[in-house]
This record gives sequence, structure tokens and C-alpha cells, in this order.
Amino acid sequence: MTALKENQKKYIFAVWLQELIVITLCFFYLLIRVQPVLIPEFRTPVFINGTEYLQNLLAVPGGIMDWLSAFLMQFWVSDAVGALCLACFLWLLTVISRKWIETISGSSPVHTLQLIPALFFTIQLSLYSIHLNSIFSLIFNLLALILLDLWISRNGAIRIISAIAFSCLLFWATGGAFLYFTVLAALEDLLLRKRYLSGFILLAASAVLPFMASSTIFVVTHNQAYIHNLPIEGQTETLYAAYGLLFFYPLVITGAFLLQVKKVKTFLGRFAYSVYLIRVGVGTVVIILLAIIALQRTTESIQLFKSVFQTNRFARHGLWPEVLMNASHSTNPNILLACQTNRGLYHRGVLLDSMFSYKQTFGLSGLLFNKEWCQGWPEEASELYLDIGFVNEAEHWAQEAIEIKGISPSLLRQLGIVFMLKGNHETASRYFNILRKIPLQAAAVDSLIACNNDPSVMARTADFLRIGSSIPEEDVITLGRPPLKALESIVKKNPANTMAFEYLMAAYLLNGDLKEIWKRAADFAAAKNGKLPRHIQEALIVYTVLNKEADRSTLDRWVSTASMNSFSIYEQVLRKYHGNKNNAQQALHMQFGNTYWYYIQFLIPPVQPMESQNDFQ
Amino acid sequence: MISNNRAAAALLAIVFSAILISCSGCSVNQKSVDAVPAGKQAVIRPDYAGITIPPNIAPLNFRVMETGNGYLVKIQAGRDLIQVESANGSVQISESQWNKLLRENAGQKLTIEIFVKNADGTWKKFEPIVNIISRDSIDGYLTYRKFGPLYNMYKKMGIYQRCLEDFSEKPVLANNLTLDNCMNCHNFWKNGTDRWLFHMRGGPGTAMILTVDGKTRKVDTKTAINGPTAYPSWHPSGKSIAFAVSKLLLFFHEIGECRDVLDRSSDIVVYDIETNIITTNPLIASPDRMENWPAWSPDGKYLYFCSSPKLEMFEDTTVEGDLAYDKIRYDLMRIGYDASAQTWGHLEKVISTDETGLSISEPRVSPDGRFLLFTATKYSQFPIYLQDADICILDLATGKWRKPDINSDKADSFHSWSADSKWIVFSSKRMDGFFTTPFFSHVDTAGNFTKPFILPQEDPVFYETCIHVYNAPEFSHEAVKVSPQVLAEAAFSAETAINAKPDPAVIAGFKPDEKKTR
Repeated sequence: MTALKENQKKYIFAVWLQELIVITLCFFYLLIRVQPVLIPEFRTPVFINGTEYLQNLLAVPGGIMDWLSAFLMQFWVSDAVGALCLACFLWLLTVISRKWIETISGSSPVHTLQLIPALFFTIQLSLYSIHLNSIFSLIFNLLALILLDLWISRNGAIRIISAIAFSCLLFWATGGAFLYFTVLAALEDLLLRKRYLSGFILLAASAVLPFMASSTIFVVTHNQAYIHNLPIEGQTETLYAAYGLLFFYPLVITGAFLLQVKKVKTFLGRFAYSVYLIRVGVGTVVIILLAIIALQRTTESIQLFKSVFQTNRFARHGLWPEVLMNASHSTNPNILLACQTNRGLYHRGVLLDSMFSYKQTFGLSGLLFNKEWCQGWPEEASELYLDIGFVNEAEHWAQEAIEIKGISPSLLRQLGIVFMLKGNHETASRYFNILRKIPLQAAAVDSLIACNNDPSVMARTADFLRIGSSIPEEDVITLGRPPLKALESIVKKNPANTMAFEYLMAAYLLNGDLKEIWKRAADFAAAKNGKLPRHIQEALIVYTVLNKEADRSTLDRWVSTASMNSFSIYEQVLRKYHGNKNNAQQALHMQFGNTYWYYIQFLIPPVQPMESQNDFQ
Repeated sequence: MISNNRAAAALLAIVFSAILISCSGCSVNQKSVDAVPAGKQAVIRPDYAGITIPPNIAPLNFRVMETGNGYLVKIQAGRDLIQVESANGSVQISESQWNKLLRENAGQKLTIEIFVKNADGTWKKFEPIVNIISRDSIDGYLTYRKFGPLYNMYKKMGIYQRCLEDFSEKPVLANNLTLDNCMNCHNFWKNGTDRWLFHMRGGPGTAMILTVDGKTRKVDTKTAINGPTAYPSWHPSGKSIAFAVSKLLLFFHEIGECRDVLDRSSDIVVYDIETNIITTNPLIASPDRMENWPAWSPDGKYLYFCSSPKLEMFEDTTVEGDLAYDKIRYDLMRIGYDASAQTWGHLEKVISTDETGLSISEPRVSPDGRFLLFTATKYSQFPIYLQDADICILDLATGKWRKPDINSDKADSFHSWSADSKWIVFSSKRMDGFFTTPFFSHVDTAGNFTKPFILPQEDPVFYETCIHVYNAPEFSHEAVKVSPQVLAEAAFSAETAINAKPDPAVIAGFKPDEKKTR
């Protein structure tokens, strides 16, 4: 007996080792490649202490899984914690899947097959779009199924009653994911146990229960009732992984049925230990290879998502060198990344010296967002506008972000600060009070509450002081994005608001509005300690070239000899190609691709009408 | 065995006692303390001091804002006394005790005595807060639209119904059932739920969801003569509904209140439920004016509404992109109506903006026909975003109007009368200037209001973390009988949906300005 047990242990040890290797690889993949702290960037599942939050979720099928998932995700303070948490749950899923396969096949210990769900989840996690609730729901349903199979399977009537009771409970607890339990229990009965009545009753229950519940008890759509917490919910990428997860378990049962259990037992069962070890080894290699192939296919999407989420996160935490590093590595620029890059350049003090070293093909939209991108990335738009001093725009887009993404700690903080700066301390306190109810946020919010309660504390905080002095005094009407008129108004009120002034000059550069740059050069130089940044100098040169009557002494005063010399070379290259713009562009790109001359000559997009003029007509 | 039972009983007793001791804000048996007078009234939030309350309102739970180590609150009316002890100042009153106290003491004073324990263990007693329990019951239900502060985009929105006699709130319809669409303008005929309606925009289709005598259907009120309808008012006969047809523009300010709304054109139309026909008249849909916010008088002989010259009259053509939003002011008008002949009478200006310098919106006549409440602002017909919005009362017998002292320095607007004309509910931003919440006030026969009080909540600190807006509060004396699922089904059902038809007489004769109705 002891020898038998010892023998059994050896086999189990091999499987455990296999699981350890694969799950450890998953951990490192998640840690290094996916970086779990970026997952909440997609849709922050906020968790709020208190009964109201719980009650609201309990009123929805599957809400308890959302609650649990949101609670755990609050603690993903670092990639390591997030990766560890995910790896642990993937391992748990693997073990439970193995137990279930062993239960239905009667063979033990099963190897390799149980790792497939973890692989599919890892693929989905790579694209940042899946949450813990799907994994939890699956785990709970499999546990219930094992319970049913092991302890309640003998008496047919008891099994049906128990299965239906479990189904109702699981539907409430895990939402549409209860289908795992009900459908699998039904398939087991139909295919493996030949209990047709029980099987059909369970299949009917799985079809009817969500419909009935959503028609009577729960205020959710039928669609929500059927798919909430299933891996296919809300998925648009890697659908094969989502559907793979959905069909894996029914396929296992079907496979067991088709091969007959005895054959399965033989297939999965115990051979001589050496043969078994070889099988486990081959299985491990195969699953790792499959993972590599599958993940390779998603590399491009991962890079795009990661670049965007990472840049936003860096920007939110003021990590501007990292923002610029991401921008320089980005192969797929867009308006959001352009805006964050320009914001990073400003905070590094080089916006008007280096902005054309980065892609500015989106023109003004790449500096201040446009309406569509504001709607797509409202939180990021809100952060930029608050930085400049547009508190109302910051309020507007932060509120839009809450509507789209739901409450998140960063949005609550943002809105609290916005209302505090607007002098509405009562509203600010509501946002801070909620923030205080989110795990791990209390310490950070206490300093904000202190500022909110005592204006003198706020006045001593450099950031608030800077933004507070930047808020416009004159009203400007907009339909969303602040127009240049609003920037001009801010600069007029407070030329010392260097961010607004630099953004205004950058906007003129991007729009090719040389006359405004010429007009404001002296004031801008005064605000910048008597020196003009490189791109402004370049713009002044272009202006004098295009306007012969322009006072050239301005150039002598503000433009460096280096810029003048550089422009002479630029002109020489242009002349060399006798007006052949295409050939000239190629030649100029290497040497002058980072100059304003190159931008205005080759890259400037058509200037869009001002929003305030365009939309009101 | 016996000793085991005793041990278990003792353990239970200990656990029970521990729960009692640790619980904050629980009602307790009578307790008296020796206390030194504080010489002032305690500050409580929400402010439930000096108010008149209905005898059927849910407990007014609150938080004592005075610093202390313990709190004792005695709530007394007549011989009935409720005592609440609290460790942190949160006072949560037993519903059953509260209901009994109010029921048995209608017309009496309700006194709230607050004792606060000092750090040294002594107590101080604050001057009592004295409220009045009115003999007039309030309508049992309040229906409102609840959502986050609305800008351009919205995801979660719903019409909810709250029982005012307890804390239960149920969704009438949540927009997760209707493709996350917008829903608004819920309105009940004579404060009942046999006939009522609301509107939807987007999702399953822009339309009115109309319930008449238990049957719910979707009615697309857009016809050849009008666009989608809003701001409904039921004719007292229950057979027709007046609507505004507006073309609104949401725009933003860079300072102060962020949002504002411009009415670019509007008309009034009337929908006949039996014939499914929409009609109008040049007097209520003039091409030269913008007519809005219809409200029938309770006898059905007058239609009150707001009216302003058309937008073009205000625009400064020399200023590029001039919105003229702050120049538009609406008069209060009324027009006679003969329901049996379906004919319109004489058009009168009830209150002129020339006289008041204010813009009038949201007129509502009390069910007894004695008063008319309206909202007055410096400009616009959309007061919710204007902090100067105040509620005004017009005495229909004397024709005199005034701003009652129920107003605050923040936006006070959108009011609804109880069925007996004794209570009003209105939306106010007085708590913080941003979030709208319902406030109630009692009105006597002379048109005097009592100090408004906020919708009570079970959690005494509910409003300190509430980031929802309670929009368009409407009284009803009974619960909505149709389930959210049935309403959602009606919203999607093509079988029961109907398209309203334009009045052929209107098409043949007067046709409202095309630009307006598109």
C-alpha cells in the first residue's frame, strides 16, 4: 500500500513539476512582457469599501465575481504583485481543471491537457482586456462541478435537484459563466453517464435560467445574463482564445465520449514512469511551443496596447523621460501619443527646441487633442487641460471619462483637484471621500483633503499654485476642445504661465501661423529669459523669407548665427534640386528632418477651421 | 448537555451584547445624562432643523457635526420618544419607531435634542431642534432620473422610483436594458401611474414610451410637422399630451459653470392618444417665436408655456459665431383651449420678460389651480446649469408673483406638485453647487412655503459620497406598475410600436418652420 502511494506520488510530482514550469513561465511572461499594472489602464475595476457598492453588485448576476476581482486588483501596486496574483490564479485554474479531467476520465494524474485554459487566459491577458472575474468564475464553476461529480453523483434525482440548485446559485454568483457548470454537468450526464433525463433537464435549465432571471428578477439584458463573466464577454481580439476557453471543457467531455473512457484512461493513464516522464516532457515542450506561436501572433497588438497604456501611465505619474523614450520607440504614432509626447517635451523644457524631432504629422490635434480623440481618451485629455489651466475642460473630460471607463482612483483624484481649484470645496470633498473608501488610497487622499479643507495649504502646494494662477479669467465658449482663443486668453491674463505660452506658440507653429509667432516673439522671449527656442527662431527666419517687408533687425536680435547658417545650407540643398520637391525632401530629411522648415514645407497638415468657428456655423 | 446549552446561551448573550455595544447609531432604551447646556444648536447634516415634515416620510437620518466622543439624540413628539446613541455622530433612526411617532403626532412639534460627550466624559446638551409634523401627507413615491453629471457622453442612466415612506428605490427602467441610451421626461397623469410616459433617445429608437391603463407601447412622436418631443404635460382629461419640440445645443464655458444649453428653435405640439395624431397651431408654434415648456391648467382650459422671439432676433451678425445664448429670455404665456371642440382660444402674456428682466421656464400649475410655480433665470429656458435659477410662485387669483424664500444662491429648479397641492419637490444644487438633489417643501393655502429639506437617505452620510444627479423629480401617489423588463420589451417591440400621425389640417394649412422641426 505504501509502495503504491509512493509510486503515485512520483507521478503527481512529475505533473506538478510540469505545472510549475509552465506557470512560472506564465509569471515571467506576464511580469516582463505584459506588465500587469497596465491592465487596469484599460478599464479600472474600482473597489469601494461599503455596503452600497457591494449591494449594487449583488443585484447583478455575476456581480460578486466583479466585486472580488475589483478588490484584488486594487492591490496590483507593482508588476510583480500583479503577475504573482495572476500566476497563482492560473495555477489554481490548472489544478482544478486537472482534478475535473481526472474526475470525468477516471485516470490520474492527467498531464498537459489541464494547462490549455491557462494558456488561453495568458493570451487574453496579453491584450489587457480580460479581468480576474472570468478566471474566478471558471474556477468556481469547476469546483462546483467536481463537488457534484464526487459527492452528489450517485442518486439521479438528488443529482438533478442539486445541479439545478447549484445552477441558480452559480448564475447569481458568476453570471453567464454558470453555463460552464450546467452545460458540462449536462454533457457528463448525456455522454458519459447515460442519464439522459438529467442531462436534458440541465441543458434546458442552462438555456432557460438566464432568460427567466433577466425577464423577472434582475435588471440586466438577456445578452448580459448569458455572457457575463464568460471569456468571450467584450472580446474583439484573439477570439480564438476566448472561444477556445469556452469550448475547451465541452470538447474534453466529447473527446472522452468519442474515445470511450477506457481508451482515455489508457491514453492519459499511467505508464511506466519513464514513459510517463517522456510524455509529460513532450507535453510541456508542445504547450510552450504553442504558447510561443500564439503569443507571437499577438506581438504587434501587444506592442500597440502596451505603448499606449504605458505612456499614459508614465504621463500620469510625471515620468516624462520614460514618455519620451516610449515615443522614440513607437512605430505606430497616433494623436494620443503625439499629445503625450509634446506634453513630455514641455515638462522636459524642450518643447519648442525639439518637438519636430518627433512626428508632428497630426498638427494641432497632436498638441491639444481633437474632439474625437478627446472622446476616445478623455482622462488623458483632462490631464493635459488641467496641466495648462483649463479647469473646465479638465472637469468636462474627467466626467466623460467616468461615464466611459467608470470610476477610477485617478479620475476621482482629478475631479477632486479640479473642483478644489475651482473653489468648489464641497464637491471636491465628495470625490475625495469616495477616494478614501478605495483600498490603499487613504494616505494619498489625506493630503488632498487637507488642501481642500484649508486653502492656505493649497496655496503652499506648488502644482496647485501654478495651475490656480493659470485658470482663465475671460469666458470663452467652446463645444469641447478649448480653441486657440482660450489659450490666447490664458496667456493674456498670465504670460508667466509658461506652459500655456509655449503651447500657444507650438500651436501657431503647427498651424503654420507665422504672423502670430512674429507678433508674439518679443513677449515670448521676455517670458523665456530673453532667449527664443530653436523652432521659434526657425519660424522667424521663414517669416522674413516670405515677407520681404518684415523688419530684419528682429532676426538679428533673436535668431542665432547657428540657425541662420543652418537655414543657408537648407536653402542650398533646396536650390540644388531645382524645385523637385520629392527629391529635395529625401535629401533634406536626414539633415533637416527635425527642423521647422522641413515641417512647414513637407509635413504640415491642412489647417482645420477653428472649432469655435466651425461648429457654430 | 444542559451545561452545553447554558454555555451556548451565555456565548450568544455576550455576542449579542457586544453587537449592541459596538453598533453606532442604534435606537436605545431611554437614557438620561447630566449635561451642560452648549448654548447653541448643534449643526447636523443634512440640515433637518426648523423644517415641516410630512407624517409619512422616511426617517430623517443625519450626522451630528459637533466634535465629541459619544452622541445621544432624543427625538420626541407628544409622548413618543426615540433615543439614538451613536459613537461617531451618525444617527440612524429605527423605521418602525419613527413611523409610529410621526403617525401618532401629526400636527405636533418634533423635537430633536442632541447630547455630545466631551473628551473628559462630561456631556453637553445643545439647544433643541424643533420641527413640525404636518397633517398633510406627501405623495408616497418620487420618480427621478439618476445618473452621473451629464456632459456629452453617458453610459449608466436610469429612471428610478423611490418610496418616500421608507428607503426602497427601484428602477423604473435602467438604460443597460435599452442599449445604454438616454431616457428622460417621465411624467404622470394626475400623479397616478395608470397613465404615464417617458422618452428615450437613441438605443432602440427615439420615441415616447406610453403606458395607458396598463398597456405600454412605443410611440414615435416625430412626424412630418415636428421632431422628437420633450417636456410633456398631460391634459387633465388624460386623453392628450402637450409637448415641446426643441433643437437644443450643449456648449461649454471656460470659466464658472462648465455647461450651458442653447435653445435654437422650439414649438409646442399636442398629441391625441386615441387618434394618435399630433397637432399644433400658429399660436403655440409660431415661426417667429420659440415656444417651450407647456403646462396645462388643472381644468384643462388653459395651456401655459414659455415663449421667446426666435434666435435670429438676438444674434449679432457683426460678431462671428455669436451664439446670443445670454440674450434670450422667455415670457410666460397662456392660451385658452376648448378640449371638447379641440380649438384654441386667446393668447395672453402672463408675465413679460420686459417686466421682470428674467427668463421664465418650467411652469407648473398646482393641482388645485391656485398657484403656478416657475423657474426664473437671467437667460435661457434650461435652468439646471444656471446657478441664479430660482423658483417663483404666481398667484393665479391675483396675478402677482414672487420669489419665495425656499431658494438658495445655487440653482433651484424643476418642481413637481403633490396631488393635493400641499407639497412640492424641486431640484436644487444648494448642497454643493454641482450635484442636483430633490428637496421638499410644504405649501399652505396662502402660498407660504416651509424651509426645504433634502430627500432622506438610510445612510446618514449618503450625500457626502454621492456623485449622482437626481434629475426631474416627479411625485406619484402609487408605484409604477410596469416592470423594467416590460418597458424594455416595449422599447424594442416592433409589433406594438406606432408612429404618430401629423394632423392633416396642420399640413394643409399652417406648417411650422421646416428648420425647426427637422
